[in-house]
Amino acid sequence: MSEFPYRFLPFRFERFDRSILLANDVGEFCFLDSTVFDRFIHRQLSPSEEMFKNLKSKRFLFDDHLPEIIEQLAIAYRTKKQFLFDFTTLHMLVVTQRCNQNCLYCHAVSKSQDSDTCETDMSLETAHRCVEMALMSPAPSIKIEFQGGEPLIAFGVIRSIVDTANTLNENIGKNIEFVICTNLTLISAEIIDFLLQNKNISISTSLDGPESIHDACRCDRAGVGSYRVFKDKFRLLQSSIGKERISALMTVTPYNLERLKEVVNEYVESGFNSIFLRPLNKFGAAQVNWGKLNYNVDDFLVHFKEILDYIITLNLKGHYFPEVYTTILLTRILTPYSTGFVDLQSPAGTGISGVIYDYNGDVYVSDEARMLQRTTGDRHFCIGNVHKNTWGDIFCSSQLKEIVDKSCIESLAGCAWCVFQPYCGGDPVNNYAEQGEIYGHRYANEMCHRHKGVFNLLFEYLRKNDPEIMDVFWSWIMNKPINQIAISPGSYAAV
Amino acid sequence: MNLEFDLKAISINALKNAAYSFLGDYEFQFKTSGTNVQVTITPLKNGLIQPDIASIYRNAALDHQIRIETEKDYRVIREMIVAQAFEPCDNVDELVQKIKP
Repeated sequence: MSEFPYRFLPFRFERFDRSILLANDVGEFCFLDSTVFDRFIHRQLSPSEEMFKNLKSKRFLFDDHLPEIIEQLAIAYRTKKQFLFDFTTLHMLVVTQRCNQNCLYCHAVSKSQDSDTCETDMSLETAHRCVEMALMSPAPSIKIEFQGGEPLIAFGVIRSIVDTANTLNENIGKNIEFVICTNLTLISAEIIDFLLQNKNISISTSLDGPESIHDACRCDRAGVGSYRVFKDKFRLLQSSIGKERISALMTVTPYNLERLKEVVNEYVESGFNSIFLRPLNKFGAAQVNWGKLNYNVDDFLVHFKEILDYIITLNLKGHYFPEVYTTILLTRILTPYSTGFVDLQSPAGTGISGVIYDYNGDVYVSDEARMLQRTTGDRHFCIGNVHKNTWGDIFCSSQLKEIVDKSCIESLAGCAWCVFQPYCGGDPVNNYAEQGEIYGHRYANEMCHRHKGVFNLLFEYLRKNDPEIMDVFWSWIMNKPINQIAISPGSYAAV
Repeated sequence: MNLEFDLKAISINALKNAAYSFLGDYEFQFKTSGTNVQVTITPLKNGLIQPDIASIYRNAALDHQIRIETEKDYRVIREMIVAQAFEPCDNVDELVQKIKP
């Protein structure tokens, strides 16, 4: 058969069940039957064929106008990498290492509430210096996130940081948001008043499921489950500042892996508008208790699919309730836009999208980097200290450049040819912690295995292209209830 | 297990890339002689070898050969797209003329 004079544009492919999945560098994708794929790569598709036109419109091949195509793809590529232009937007501050809880999987290796504050809490001087550092970021919008321990133990430091940031920002003009990551148990009238006065503070909390699940891992220092206190404080907070300012993360453990439906129901009944099914990180107490907490990635994927199907059904019934991780990945797959998820980007978000300031002013490239130091004493990812180093010393350091350089998945073995690469990202800290070096080895990497499994699952939905499921996915991407985005109004009930 | 390949049909890079995803379970050795290459696959754990490893590996190598062949066509284009994305130039037309076969 004769060859047609078309040429290929950059693409990756993978055999996907009985068909071939193609994706280009800007995330456009299509499925080809294997015989069509063979004809495509042997340049046997005729320009008159629909598949030729489809592949040309999705920019997998070209037969003319290359300069214009390069311009278009460059703009699309720049849009996908938009996060690089903002630089560090997320600034996490460990205001205290102390915590009133002793969670089985605590990544932060928190200390007891009565520990010496000199050894655990951020001083006001350090806090002030961290705020100055955060405001030096070129990003027009920044998020300051309070971490711990339990940050509300050091509420005075939080108050000081918010006041300092707002005051200093009067002459700088950035958009600043604050997030307090808290177990809620220390919420008081004073704190609620403060939250009412500062509308740009939101709350991120943790809820692992109904009482028996939540309390399996999340107890206070005396071993008493925290669920009941959590629920009381959550209701108090919800009624005072509104549910829109409160979100929750759940951690998948063996205690809820097979009971995720109960977890989702708990979230819906509590009034949360979404859920983030977050796998366990092997840091801190989680590493110590790994024997109790470990589960197989394949088991996670089986249960992830089951619960995603359940969540989709809830949405089809009119409950707007996205799974956040799925929404992030779908936004990357189905839209031209970049997403702000620092844990999964290339180059990795370590230091250049997010950074964490420890209680003593040490700066780490990510929360996991700080956890690694707490767990093993390894300061490999500590890039400076706010008292000893300037912004330039820290963020323009050869150390940070090397970490970022080694996290570009475009040039990593295994990632370079992976069809999911346009939607995925690197995790140098996890690679280093798990496999002893920043590049990591994809063939033995649990994170890679898990991400590939989730991508396979999502692309299976996309291949089936069920109109109702696609309506659910688009409602998540557009952050609107399904009855507001469906082509046929009235197709879905509103709840 | 030993597998024979003809380097006129498949490149050593395709064979090595295909080996990458199996490295957690197997060791690969490549011995080249003229246009032939012998790939020796040795299991790392408990001496067991997956019965269909030969066909899985051959198919993976063929797919990598496709990747290598098609990339020859678009590698320069990819470099231009990335360069244009971050440091736009005003002579794309001239550069494109240089890469046409």
